[in-house]
Amino acid sequence: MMGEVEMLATLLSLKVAAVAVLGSLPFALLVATRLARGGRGTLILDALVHLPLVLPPVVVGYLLLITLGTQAPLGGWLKEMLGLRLVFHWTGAALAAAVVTFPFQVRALRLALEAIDPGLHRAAQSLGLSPWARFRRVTFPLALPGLLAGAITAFAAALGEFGAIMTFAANIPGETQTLPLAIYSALQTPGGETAAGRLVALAIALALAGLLLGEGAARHLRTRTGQTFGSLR
Amino acid sequence: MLRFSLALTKGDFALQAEAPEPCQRLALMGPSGVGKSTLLSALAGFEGQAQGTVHLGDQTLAAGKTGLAPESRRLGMVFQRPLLFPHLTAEENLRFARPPTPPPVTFEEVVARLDLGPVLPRRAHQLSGGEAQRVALGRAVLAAPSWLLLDEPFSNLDPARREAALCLIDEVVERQGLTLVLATHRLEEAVSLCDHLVSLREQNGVSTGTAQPLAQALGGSGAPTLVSGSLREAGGTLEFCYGGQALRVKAAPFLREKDRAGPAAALIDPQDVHALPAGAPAPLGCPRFEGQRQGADQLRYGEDVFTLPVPLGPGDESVAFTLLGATVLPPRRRDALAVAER
Repeated sequence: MMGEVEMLATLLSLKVAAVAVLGSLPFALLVATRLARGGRGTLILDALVHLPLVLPPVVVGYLLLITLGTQAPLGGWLKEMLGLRLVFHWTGAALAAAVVTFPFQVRALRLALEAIDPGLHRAAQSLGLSPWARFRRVTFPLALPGLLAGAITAFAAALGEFGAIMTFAANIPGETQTLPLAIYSALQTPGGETAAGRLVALAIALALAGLLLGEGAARHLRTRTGQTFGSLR
Repeated sequence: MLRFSLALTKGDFALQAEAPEPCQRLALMGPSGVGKSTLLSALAGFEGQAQGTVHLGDQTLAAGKTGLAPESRRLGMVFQRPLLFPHLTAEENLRFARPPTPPPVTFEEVVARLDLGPVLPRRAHQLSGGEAQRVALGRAVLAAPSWLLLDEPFSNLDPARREAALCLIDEVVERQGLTLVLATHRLEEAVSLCDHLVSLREQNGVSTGTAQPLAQALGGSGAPTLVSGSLREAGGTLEFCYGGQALRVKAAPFLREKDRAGPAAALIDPQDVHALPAGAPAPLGCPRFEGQRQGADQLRYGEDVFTLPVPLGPGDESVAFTLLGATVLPPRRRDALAVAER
């Protein structure tokens, strides 16, 4: 049976991962559109976007802490002006997970956007569509499989994020203690192996379900449009 | 009515084309790679490097380096590829444009005329090349355009459907007084639909062309020759009799049953004119004519002057040649080309 700790950790993980993915999606779309267009600055932007992928997550957490911690100027300002405190709070965990999984979303979206035949934009233009209408009626639906694939991969990765959340939001049961942090805590407790085992099984099941769901949905969308692209592969 | 004067340089490719007099039905012809598609694309506003003026009726679409965006030019465009939206069905593609004014033909009429009924529920990747091309053509017409810019729109169609598509375009243009620009390498399409011609040629590394009335453009250097003769059926095959000999009919668009015999006019494409070495017989089944040399790349036969695809080497004044085929003009185009006077 699932105990209270496991239940809390699972629900919190789902909440943190969902907010992380949905919150960063619009930014990922903007950055991927800019990258897919190419031109000046693309290389630098691309490197910056991929930085969280190669940095140790602890470093990402530390960087967040020194910019958004309550003692940092920006963090202090946020707390004073908006009453927003990110450290020791689940929103901080979501932000840390969002930063670490951002590259997954951008990558999948960029591939999907670059795979769209530029001729289709011309065709839409020749049919009188404004730039916004072209995005809404052509670009977005065609990038949807990539968007979905990226979002699901990011979601699964956010579920498993440990280092950045631990460093930035700390390990507070019921507040910032997501599944991996709960596993870590269980392993630190004498006799906690059984609880850790249950949590590990939960983590595996969640990640697997997410990945299968995402790939299935992306595959369905791709078959509908006859596309053979749009996933991370 | 379209008037334009455009210049464009793209890498090592340069193009210069103009239509100083307003023309309503303009064909763009020329060898592959000479810039027909680029000129169409520049007229539509897709070539940022293009400079010059484009006037459609009393509207200025482009002047100097600036011009209206393509989406504001009220285009009806068919590109070299069908470019159907892959996430939509054929029907959704046809209904894609939401024009402010009703289109010149109804959706139902386009579907019937282009025989698209069975393919409507299919997605773009489930269509054959010809089907996709017909959908693209229908989509352009249903956008209620002010002008039609068509890039080889009939190239993938079988003869019956090509004729149906030609008729539809012809009617839409006639009914709405639309302007038509047609890039094609098929002479019969140009003469069936157009009355002006830009024959693009490469001169000193620049693709150049000026619009001329079709009748005037014919017979000039590099242009087809208009000849008079008669049609007859021989063993189920249509033949065009010229100079007392039978020519193979390459194409005879819009030709009704009753027009398949009697006086007719036809065009001879330069690529179908072949000079024969002295004393050599004509290829099997081809007629042999004796003509007079005129300049380096032209032959005179009676009143008619034919352009050769390759210049003649040195030799006698008298040159034997053969004609590999003729494109019979549709009866209603004969007046437009002033054939009656000849």
